[in-house]
This record gives sequence, C-alpha cells and structure tokens, in this order.
Amino acid sequence: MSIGTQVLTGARDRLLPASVPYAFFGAACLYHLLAWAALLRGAALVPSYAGGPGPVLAAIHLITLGVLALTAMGAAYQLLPVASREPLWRVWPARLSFWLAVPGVALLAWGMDGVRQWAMTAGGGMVAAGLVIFALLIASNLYRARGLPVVIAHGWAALVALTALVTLGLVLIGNYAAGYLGDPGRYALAHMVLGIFGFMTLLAFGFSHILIPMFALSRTLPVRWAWAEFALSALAVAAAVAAVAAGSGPGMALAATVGIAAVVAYFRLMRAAMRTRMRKRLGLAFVLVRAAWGFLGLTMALGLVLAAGLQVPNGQTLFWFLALAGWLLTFLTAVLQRIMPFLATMHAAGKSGRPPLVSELSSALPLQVHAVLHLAAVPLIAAGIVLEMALPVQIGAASGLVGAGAFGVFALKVFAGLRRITRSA
Amino acid sequence: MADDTLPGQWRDTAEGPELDLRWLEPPEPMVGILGRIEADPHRPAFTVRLSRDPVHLFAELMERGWAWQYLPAQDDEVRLRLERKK
Repeated sequence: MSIGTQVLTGARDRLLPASVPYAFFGAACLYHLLAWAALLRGAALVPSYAGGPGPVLAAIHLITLGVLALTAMGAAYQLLPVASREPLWRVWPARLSFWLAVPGVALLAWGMDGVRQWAMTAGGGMVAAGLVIFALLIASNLYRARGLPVVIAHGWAALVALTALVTLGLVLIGNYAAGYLGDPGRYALAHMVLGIFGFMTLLAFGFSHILIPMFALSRTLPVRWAWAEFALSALAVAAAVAAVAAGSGPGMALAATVGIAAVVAYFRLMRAAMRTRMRKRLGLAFVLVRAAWGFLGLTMALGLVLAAGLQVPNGQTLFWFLALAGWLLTFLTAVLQRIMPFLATMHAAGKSGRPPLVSELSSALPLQVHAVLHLAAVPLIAAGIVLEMALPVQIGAASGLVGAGAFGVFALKVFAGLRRITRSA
Repeated sequence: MADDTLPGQWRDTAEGPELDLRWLEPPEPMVGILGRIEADPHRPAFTVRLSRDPVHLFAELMERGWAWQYLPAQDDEVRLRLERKK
C-alpha cells in the first residue's frame, strides 16, 4: 500500500483515467459473449463457410473487432504511454473512439448477420472512424516514443496494416451494394491477412516483448532475435498480401515459409523469457498463453500445408478458425485476465486507503471454468470443420459461450473492486 | 540471485542507498527491485529511481508485504521509497 503523501511527477501523469481502458475491456467481454452466441447460431454454416454475409461473418467480426480490437485499443491506450514514456495526446479522442467503435461493431455485426446493407455501411463507417482515431492517437504516441524500439516498430507496422485493412473493409462493404469488385474474394482474403496477421498478431507479438517478461519476471529478451522476429513478421504479412493481390500460389507458399520463420523467432524469444524467469508458478493465464502458442504453431503448419497445395478437408476455414479463436482469442483472454486486476491495483496505488491485492480482485473459479470450456471449444469446433459436422461446432460454440460467461463474471468482480477503490478515494 | 547480477546500480545518497534503474527497459527495473527484495529478506527499506511509472510493480510489492511512497522527483522520473511492512 502507498505510505505517506503521493507526489505526482511527469512520469506518473501518463496514467489515463481508469474508465478509459476498462470501458474497452468491459465492451470486449460483452462482445466475447455475443461472438460465441453468434457462432452457435450459425454453427451449421461454419464447416463449409467460404465467405459472404450471414451469421458466421457476424461472429467473425464480433471476435475480431468486438473482442480483439477493443481489447487492443484499451490496452494500447493505457500501456503504450507508460512504456513509451510519452503521454497520450488527449484523452477525449480515446473516449470518442470508444463511442464510435463499440456501437459500430454491434450495428455492423447485426447488418452482416441479416445482410442489411445500411447497417453494414453505417456500422462499418463508425468502426472505421473509431479505428482511425485510435491509429492517429497511437501514431502520435509512437512518433514521440523513447526507448523500446522493437515494440515501437511492431506498433508502426500494425498501424500500417490497420489502415489498409480498414480501407479494404469499407471497399468490401460498398461492394455488397454496388458489386464493383471483379473478384471480391481476393480482397476479402487480403483483408483477413491484414487484420489477423498484420494488425492483431503484430500487436500481440509487440506487446509480448514487454508483457510476457513482465508477467514472468524475466530478463530483457535477446535484441537480435527480437529484430529478426519483427523483420520476418512484417515481411511475411507484406508477402502474403502481395501474393493474394497477384493470385500467386508460389508467392503464398513463400509468405507462409517466412511466416513460419517469424513464429520460430517469436517462440525463441518466448523460450528465453521462460528460461530466465524469476516467477516459478505462472498460473492459469500462462496455461492459456502456452495453449495459444500451440495453436499459433498449428496454424502456421497448416498454412504451409495448404500453401503447398496439399488437401485438408475445409482447410481454409480451419486455418482461419485456428488463427482467430485458437491463437488470438486464447492469447488475448490470457493477457486480459492478467492485466485487468493489475491495472486496477495500479490505479489504486495513487488512492487513499488500502488498495486491494491482485488476488482479491481476481477470481479463480470463473477463470478456471473459462479456461476449461475455451480449451474444449477450440478443438471441438476444429473437429466439426474437418469432419463437416454441425454438432461438434454447436457443442463447441455452446462451451465457448458458457466460458465467455464465466470470463464475464471474473470481469464483473474486477469492475466491482475498481468501483470500490474509486468510491473510497 | 546475487545482487551484482541483478539489473540496476546502487548509489549512496543523503537519504540512504538508492537503486538507479533509469536506463533500463521494462521489465528489467521490476526484476532488479523484486530480485533484491527476495535476495535479502532482512533489507528493511531502500529508494529506487526509474524512468517509467512501474505500473506492474505495485501489485508485486503488495503480494510480498512491501509498501511504497512516491518521493519528489525530476520531471520524467519516478522516485519511490520502498519499505518492508512490519
């Protein structure tokens, strides 16, 4: 607990009001539930899904935008200014991006679910505006940042990918009404590569350089491997987008190979973090982190198999599902369950009274329920995709839905603790 | 872990020993502080000087039964007095 009078310094001024990151995290938890519910509703369509509006597309965007992007926005707004030693330019644009993106995701997903063009256009426009504000704020912070060059480089590359994917997303929405694209599937594929590997994976890799060693209490990661990972990751994304644009199979195989090299470099860094760690018991979050790494490895291996022209039943659908739900959703929920209580204690550090322990804000049982059900959901749905059976997808989505509910209970306990702290200040 | 293998450098100041961690990137400052807390269970208190607000440190300190106090610092620095709770 804090003793005596706190003296605010320049470095401490970089903390945002707690309401900013927690609003994003709360919305992400809500969309987590909705995403699994949408997947359950569209379960019969999942195994053979090959793109286009409907409940599966809605579920995909509830995960990518509703869970992953909102979590990334909340975390980046809060953690990047502290890490970069530069405050956010202003707080109000961050709040504005929330009020644009959060209802925008709901409208967009509703529009996609029932092929409602006006809702897709309006919702997509709102989300795009929120993401553009986010990109500008983060770009301003990255431009002024000092230190952590590898993390900053990941941030810049992720923002470039974000700009391109938002543009393509709007083009694709417009195409549903006007039909001006000759081959919309190719644009959709580039949009997915940019979103899942360009924006989210690059951000996840970048934040891993700080957060994984921070959680595990490890020494600084080897710099050469860190730069190698970044260069290979950025090159893989660029090569994949170029291969999609050119319709080149060999180009895609090359991109997959470079992508695997990037993931090997990332794993090498994470192994260094694990080997030098001071904390011996890493807890449940790291069970999920390790599972996410496993799913990432599987995704890349499958990508190489597909790029080599080998046949896997519904291989494309399986690839994107493993990347999205196996790798990113597992990793993000693991990170979220660590940073939410930590951020609450961080905000409590400047308040009067006794700040809560992390263990008081966290709750073991809901997180255990979430972990078990989430880790059951991913292989069940993957099996349903390969076997082209709706039942495993339905059971898996139901499992994911209950798991998301349990995660929501955990989040509510953190929010209640934070509210108690704020009121007692 | 031996003190001299941990990140950070001790300096003598008028207020006692101060651990300077300003030039280190995260998570090295936290590793330097927690490593010293765990290495010497009899150390009652010390001061640390950092370039970033140690956002993850406070929870770790609380779990280990340590208290902290912000001290006056130059702009762009954070100084903390760390004290083992009785």
